[in-house]
This record gives sequence, C-alpha cells and structure tokens, in this order.
Amino acid sequence: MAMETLTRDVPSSMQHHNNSSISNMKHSYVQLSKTCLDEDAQINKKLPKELLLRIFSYLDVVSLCRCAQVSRAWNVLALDGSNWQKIDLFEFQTDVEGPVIENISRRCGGFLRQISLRGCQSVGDGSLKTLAQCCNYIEYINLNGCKRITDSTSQSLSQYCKKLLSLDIGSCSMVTDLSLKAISDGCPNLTSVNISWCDGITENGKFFTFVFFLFYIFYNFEGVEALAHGCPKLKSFISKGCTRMTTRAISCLAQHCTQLEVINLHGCNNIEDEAVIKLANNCNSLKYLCLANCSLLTDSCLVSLAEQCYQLNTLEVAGCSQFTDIGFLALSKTCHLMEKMDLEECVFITDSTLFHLAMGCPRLENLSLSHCELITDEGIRHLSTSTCASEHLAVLELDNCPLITDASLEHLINCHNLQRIMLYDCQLITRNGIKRLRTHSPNINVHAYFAPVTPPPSTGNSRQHYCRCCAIL
Amino acid sequence: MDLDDNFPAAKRIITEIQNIVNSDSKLKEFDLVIQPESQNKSPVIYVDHCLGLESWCVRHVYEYVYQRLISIRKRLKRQVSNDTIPLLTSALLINPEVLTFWNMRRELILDGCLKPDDELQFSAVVLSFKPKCAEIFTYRRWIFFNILKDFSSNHVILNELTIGLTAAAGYPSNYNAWNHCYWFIQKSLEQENYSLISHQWEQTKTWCSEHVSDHSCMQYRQRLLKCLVADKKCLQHLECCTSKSLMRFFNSDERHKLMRPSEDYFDEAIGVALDELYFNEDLIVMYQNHESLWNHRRFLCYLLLDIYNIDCIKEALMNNERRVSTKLSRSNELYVKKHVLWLQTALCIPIKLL
Repeated sequence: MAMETLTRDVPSSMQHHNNSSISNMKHSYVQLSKTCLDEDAQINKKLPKELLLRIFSYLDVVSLCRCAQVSRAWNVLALDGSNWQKIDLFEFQTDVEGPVIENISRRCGGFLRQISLRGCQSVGDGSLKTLAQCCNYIEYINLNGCKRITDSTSQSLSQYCKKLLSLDIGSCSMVTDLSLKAISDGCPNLTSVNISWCDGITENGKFFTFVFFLFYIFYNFEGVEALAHGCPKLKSFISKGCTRMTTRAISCLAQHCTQLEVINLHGCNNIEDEAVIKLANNCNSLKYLCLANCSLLTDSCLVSLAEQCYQLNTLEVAGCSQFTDIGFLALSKTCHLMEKMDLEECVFITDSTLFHLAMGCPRLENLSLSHCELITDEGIRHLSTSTCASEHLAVLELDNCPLITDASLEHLINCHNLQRIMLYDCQLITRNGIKRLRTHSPNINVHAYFAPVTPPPSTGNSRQHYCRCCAIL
Repeated sequence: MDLDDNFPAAKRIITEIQNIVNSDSKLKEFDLVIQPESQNKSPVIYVDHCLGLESWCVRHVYEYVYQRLISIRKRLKRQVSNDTIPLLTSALLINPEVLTFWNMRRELILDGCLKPDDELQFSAVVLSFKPKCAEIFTYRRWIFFNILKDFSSNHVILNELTIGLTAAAGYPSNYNAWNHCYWFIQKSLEQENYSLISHQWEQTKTWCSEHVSDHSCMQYRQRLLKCLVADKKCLQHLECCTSKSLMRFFNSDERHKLMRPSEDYFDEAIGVALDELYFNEDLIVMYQNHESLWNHRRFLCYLLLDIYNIDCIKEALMNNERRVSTKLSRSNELYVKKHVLWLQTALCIPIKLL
C-alpha cells in the first residue's frame, strides 16, 4: 500500500477513487466522510498545518506513506517535499522501478539532501537523470549495488548536483573511469567516495564471476588521478578489490587530497611501498587505513606511517606477509591511539611485536593474529599484562596459531573486557582450557571447533512405561 | 542468535564448504567421515577433489543452517541474498531431501545469483552422497527443461545418462536414476535423435548382466524396448544381429509364413525382442531364483504377442517357453510354476509341465 502512495502522482489520488466502480450513493458518502475528516476532524482543527508538517518531518518513509493515505489534506502535507530530505529505501523496499524514483524526485525537489538507493537493482540511468535534474541539492547519494547504472548517471550527477559530498557507487559493474572524471569535474566539494566491489568488467569487457571477494573493477589510474585533481576536499576514499589500482594513482591522490582520513585499498594488490609512503607524508590526519592483501608492501611503509600519522586508530594489513617486527615496533612507538589492528597472515611477526604493541597501544580493542604462526604463549602473556588488555581488549583472534596452548588462556583471564576469542585450529588448546576460561569469565564467546555441550535429553518427553495409576499400584 | 553462541564454528564451517564448492570445478564426491570426537580442527576434509565432513559436527551444522533458512523462508519479504547460498549448500549436502531448499536455489537461479552450469555440478556432487534422492533429479531436470532448454547436443545428454548410470550403480534398484535417464531419452527422441536409444540399449545390457536383481534397470530396458519396437527409426542405429534369434525361434516353415505378409521392420522388431528373450534365458540359467529376471521374461512374452499377434508366433512362443520351463523346472521350481500359470491365464498359452 505504501508503495502505491509513492508511485501515484499527486493530483491523481482523488481521481483514483472516482474511477473505481462505486455506486453513486456510496460515492457521495465517501465525499461526505472525506469533508468530514478533512475539515472537521479534531486534530486538524486543533493543530495548524505548520505544526502537522513539523511532526511529519520526524517520521520515516513507511509512516509518511501511511499518513498520506489518511485524508486529502494529510496527503498533501505528508508528501510535502520538506519531509523528504532523507530517503533510505534499503530497509523499506529495494524492488523499485524507475517511475518510483522519478516521482520521489519530483516530490522532493530541492529539499532532498540524502538518498540511499542501495540494492535497488532495477533503477536505471534515465530515472537517476530525472533525480539529478529535480534535486540539485543532494549531498549524499548511495547507489551501491544499482547494477544497471552506467557512466551517464555520474555525468548527470556532476552536471546538476554541484553540492555532492558523498558518493557510493560500489558494486556498479558498468561504471568506468569516465564516471570519476565526470564527478571530478562537477563536484569539487566531494569528501567521500566509494568505488569498491565492482565486479564483472575487465579491460576486454568480458564478464567473470570470481570466487567470493575477488572482484575486478575497471578503474585505472587516470580516473583516480582526475578525482584527486578535482576533489581536493576528499576525506574518505574506499576502493576495495580494485586490482588495477596503481601506485601512481594513489601517489597522486596523496599529493592533492591532503585531508584524507579514511583509505581502504583492500585487495589492490599492485600497490607498492611508494604509494603508502606518499600517503603517510601528505595525509597526516589519516585515521583508518586498510591495506589488506596488498602483498607487495614492506616494512618501510609501516615505518613512514609511524613517522607521520599519529592519529591512526585502525590498521588492517591482513595478508601483507612481508611485514615484520621492525615495522610494528616503529608503529607502536608513535601511534598510541591504535584501536583496531588486523594482522592476519603477517607470518613473520613474533612475540616481540606483541610485546611492543602491549607497551605502545593502550587503547587496543580489536586484535587479529590469525595465521601468525610464530606467536607463542609468551607474547600473549605480555599482551595480557598490559593496560590495553585489562581495560579495552574486546576481540582477540588467534586462530591457526599452532604454538598457542592453554597457558595463553590462563593469561587472558586478566582481560576483563574480552568478549570474543577465536581459537580455531589451535591444536594445543584443549577443551578443559576453554572450560577454565569460561568459569572465570562466563560471558566470553569462545570460537573453536569443539562440539557444543548438548544439554542432556529431557526426561519429560520420554514415554512413560506405565500409566499413572499402574505406577501407583 | 542463541544458536550463534552455541556453536559459532558453524558459520566458519559452511563458509569453508562453500569456498571449496566454488573453487573446485572438478569436485566429484561428498560424504560423511565417521569421527565421533571433535578435535580443535576443521571438520571439513578435502582430498583429491573429494569433500568430507566429520560426523560429530553434522548435527550442529545442520541445526544452524536449518533454523536460519527456515526463518529466512518465513519472512514476508523474501529478499534475494547471496548470504543464503552457503547456508543452502551445506544444508543440501547434508540433507538433500528438503524440497524447500532446492526451491530456494531455483529462485536464486532465476534471479541470476547462481549459474545453471555450476548448479549441475553441485547437484552431481550431492548425488554422489545420496544417489537415490528424487529431489536432486527433479532439480536437474528442472534446470534442463526451464533454463538450458537444449536437448539437441548428444554430449550433454550422454553426460546426463552417465550421471544417471553412476547413481544407479550407487544404490540398488534406483528407480529415480533410471527414470531420470528415460526422461532424457524421451527428450532426445522428441528432438528426433535416434542414436542414443540404441546406445543405451547396448550399454545397459552389460549393466543388467552385472546386476541381475535390479528390477529398475530391467524396467528401464522394457521402456527402451517399447520405444524400439514402436518406431522403426529407433532400430536404425542398432548394431546387433537379430537374424540368429529369428532362426532359433521359428522353425523353417513358420519363418516363411512370417516373411510373406510382413515387412522387414516387423522382423527386426521381433528380432530385438527375441534377442532380449534369449539373453534373459541365459541370465536365468546362470543366476538362479531372481524374481526380477522372471518378471522381465513375463514382460517380453507379453510384448511379443502384443507386437504381432498371430498364431505362428504364439505357437513358437509356446514351444520356446515349454522348452525353457522344462529345462529350468528343477532349479527355479517356484518361479517356473508361477510363469507357466501366468502364461496360461494371461496369454492363454497352454503349457503342461512334464
């Protein structure tokens, strides 16, 4: 029902009633009750339209659509553009066609500030062009997973929406470099861009489906370079799985967008040290950095990050297997604000890294050491005696660390805030060790391959051998 | 959410299984590995394109996926989501007899989240675990009929027949598997492709002689035989020499009587049926007291009279059956008696046992 309200044009809502085959008498009754509701209803008498409008402005999409069906007067008020500044269809309905978007954009007009069409797969370029034309003041637009859109959407956005601050075109497999160029021309205020997970297209235009997270994207350095020149206010740059991303593109980004705070280069595996060093030198306010699976990187980029970016609080370097203790030693000396570190498969790190992290990063909450095979109980002991352990550490991942034994679990009893610990494939961990940890901190969520303890089968359900009277006898 | 706390490893296990299924296009088998005690290592075993799951975790993993899938299914808004794929994969590997889960996969195919070719591969792996599961066969047929819609290529159908045959070998009297094969034979006949039926006729002959108790296989041959005698075109590709059986069945003057009114086609049709009759006799002699063989013989006698109901055939059949019954009356006493009684009542062929 609510969806119908959206799709219907404003003036046709009354005609709709007229067209339907109601008898004349019934029709007049409807009219009568309408006027009753509209003009004589208590709420409309008591509250002026301005106040009603104000109340409506706090409602979400679903409630607004419901209100729009109450009466004609309310219909006008509820569908007033001022109520529709933020629209998120993801939680509401993603299975929408183009006309819905066009109606929304006509209704909202210049009021619209934020719109999320995440996962609306059937939305195409045409309706988004209407959106861009009608709503010139959009600041935040999320088109993640709108697979049918192409470069032409970005072009209309850049042409009409000059105030754009945030753009998400992740998983839109048909967009190319041209989009980034267009955006960089038209939207100088852009602070946040997400171009990740675009599957499907390689340079030859062949379609592939890749195993799980290995997606390809058709960006190369030219697009990103243009973006760097055009949008110097960029704060967040997310491009997961863009395997064609080059060192040069990132260097260029670093030179021009010095305000960058969030950078995600997950799986951009052609990135070399130089790119990260440039980032570290220019973007000193970096807070979040993900370099997962950039396997060409070495310690020198960690060292330069340590020298320049003291604000860093999240570092994800899973799969950067060339990192060693030296890099993390440097990092732990300066980046004291570190809260989350993902060191999965940094196979060279040893207990000494843990020792330094325990000393240098007192705010550490989330630490992943999966597949760090050189870690031993000694390292965990250092970690557990530090301040971070006793106060902050909430998640610790130790799966596939073959040298970890029950002794580590004994040490971890000191971590009062620990909520989750991963112990998959740690062969030296025993069931009893986990049981001991659980008795000390019952709320902890231990992940291991042990079968759960099944409650004993309840005896109540089993069939009694004798009926009650026989039992008494 | 309760379940998550109970056995958080389940999610990891099903992701691991899904990764293996996705990455290995040559995966051929799935089975459970008896391991009542759990160690702290992954229960997913993957060796040499074969996938195994240790038995201790089966119950917990299935409980996890089942609860989740059913709650997804019960939602009013059925959101198509890639997250359900690993859940479905594990659920169907463990228990492929849940039609709802296959239906969810069907929806995913229609939405383009799953590829039909990958699905054929996956269902073949499931089939290796439960070769008699009707839902798997139905699913495969659905893919062919609704998605691929291509029955013209011999290669595809032959591959499907091989899969049916493998499943038949995995479970005795696997009617579903044979039915599946026959469905494809029918489809190929609709495409006017007559070579496959004779190929199957010859291939299953050896199979039958190796599985004399498998009445489903015999039934499959009966259906093939019906097609063969009904349509001359089916006989074209048959290579076996039927004239010997004809000579053996009729004595010389009867043979003339038969030749005169009929065309060659009738001869050939009768020849194929007679061939099968003699083959059946050989099997009965070799393997005593198998009911399926005698049932098959009944069908052959009936079919012979059904094709060409004239006196000379009836007489020849009577002579032949008398000879066989007398020869076998000692070793297969019970079945011979039944057979003779049936000939008398159903076909009105009077035979007296000596």
